Amino acid sequence: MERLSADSRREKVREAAYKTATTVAAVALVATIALFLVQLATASHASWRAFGLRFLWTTEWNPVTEQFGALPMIVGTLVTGFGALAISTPFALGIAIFLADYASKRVTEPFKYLISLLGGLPSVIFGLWGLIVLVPRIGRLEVWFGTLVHSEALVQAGTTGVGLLSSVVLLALMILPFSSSLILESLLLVPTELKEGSLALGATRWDTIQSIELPFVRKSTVGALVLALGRALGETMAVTMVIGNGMRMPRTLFDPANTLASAIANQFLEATSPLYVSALTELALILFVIAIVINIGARVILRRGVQQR
Amino acid sequence: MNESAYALETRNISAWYGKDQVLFNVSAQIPEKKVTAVMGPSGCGKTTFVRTLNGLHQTNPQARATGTILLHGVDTSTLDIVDVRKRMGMVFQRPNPFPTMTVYENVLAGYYLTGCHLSRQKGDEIVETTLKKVGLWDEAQNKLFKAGTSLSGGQQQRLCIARAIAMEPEVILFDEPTSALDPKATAVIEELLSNLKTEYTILFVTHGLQQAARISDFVGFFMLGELVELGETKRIFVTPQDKRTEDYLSGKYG
Repeated sequence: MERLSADSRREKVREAAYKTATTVAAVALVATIALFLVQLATASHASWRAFGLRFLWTTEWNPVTEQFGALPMIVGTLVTGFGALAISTPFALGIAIFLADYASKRVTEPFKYLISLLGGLPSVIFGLWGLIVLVPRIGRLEVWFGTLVHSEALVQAGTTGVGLLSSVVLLALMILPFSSSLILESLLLVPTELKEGSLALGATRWDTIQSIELPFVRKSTVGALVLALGRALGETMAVTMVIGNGMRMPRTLFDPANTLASAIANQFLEATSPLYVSALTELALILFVIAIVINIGARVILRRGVQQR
Repeated sequence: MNESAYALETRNISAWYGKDQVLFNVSAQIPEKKVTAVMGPSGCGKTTFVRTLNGLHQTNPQARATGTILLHGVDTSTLDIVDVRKRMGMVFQRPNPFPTMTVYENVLAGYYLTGCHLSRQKGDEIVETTLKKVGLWDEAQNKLFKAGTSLSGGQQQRLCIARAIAMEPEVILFDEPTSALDPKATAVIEELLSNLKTEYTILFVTHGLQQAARISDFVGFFMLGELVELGETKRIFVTPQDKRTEDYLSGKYG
């Protein structure tokens, strides 16, 4: 009797210790994120005081006169992010549908492996490939197009090849593994009973994909695409290497530009004045908020997709 | 045109999964507008048999089948598989209404899926008459625009029957349609069969002896991928001609 109660007391103490330890770990994670936000806000205080909300919609970025406006970078981020999403989505859907419904298992398995391999590749490799292989080709394409429409400005912008278009294409390739594998996973979850139910009614395989499978995975597909968008918006290394560090407001897709992330990476080491550093930090704060909003949005959509079943 | 007095006739159907042969030269005659039960112990090939009829078996890349299937005397291999499936509806083991569609859309799913456009009026008409035929109209007429999956299991299965007969098939294949249902819902579906057979030829896979005896006019007994015997239900149950049928009926195999 004595023994038993002693044991259970020890058990209780241990239980409490586990609970405390895990709670601390969980709280620490939340606290870190909060701290992050607070510190970014504090560090960008000088820029806040100097420019206020104007920072969001002015276009001049001049370290010499210490005039800073984030609009070119915000535009660069959104254009490259959504542009990449627009280009990669049809391919992602195509890959996922092919692997889920047309390819045999012998093809699907190595393909899945290949996709995850591509997704795990360090982005500096994508960046290097982009710089060496993609940029010169995009440049030639841009010059050809500029000549075609008799636009001296386009030809000039396209000569180097670096710029928004190169970034969009590179990012499209980089997010393809994420969106296609997420869509593939949800397509593989469509119950066989539903596909057979559709076929048995006289539907073709394509009818079945279009009217049964795609509606079934609609929500999770949107979630997957938003997650991919989140990655594109925050991608730094590869974009920094091919976007051209242009600080002016881009006028065309061929212009060198910057995203929020690439501006920070390109300029942080050269930023000497406190206000310059503060302005760059504020870019980080904007990116942080965009990333959080996108990620929460994606998760909400994904959760709703699951609940509906 | 081959001569056949039956709604459905098979000649030497064999089927494989990978290297395993699961059906051996099955030749069966399914009379028109009767309920023909297909019974046998699990793994005997009865489900594979009905799935070869509408070509679902062959959609699995590892599976294949040989032999001739005559639908009202016409060799189905000369027809488009899509047409064959429209003329041969199927109801599955587990109710499988389409979760992204309402009750109304589920009834008309065959039309939607095959790109067949119906006028609003015609659609309403088909939904009402088919739901009445499966005895679901009273229960579901207020839920027409709710998800098909919001119905109970038994109602979902009747919705799937409605979905099949909305296409006005000649034959309906039932693959153990009550095995996932409770006894009450099972009884409702069994009762329904006597109405349905006035219009359709019915092939009904079951692994329940009693169910086969209750519902069928004809019964085929499968074992180890062979059709052992096919004949009038009363005759098979009273005077089986094959020793294996007799043993099965006396409970010698599951």
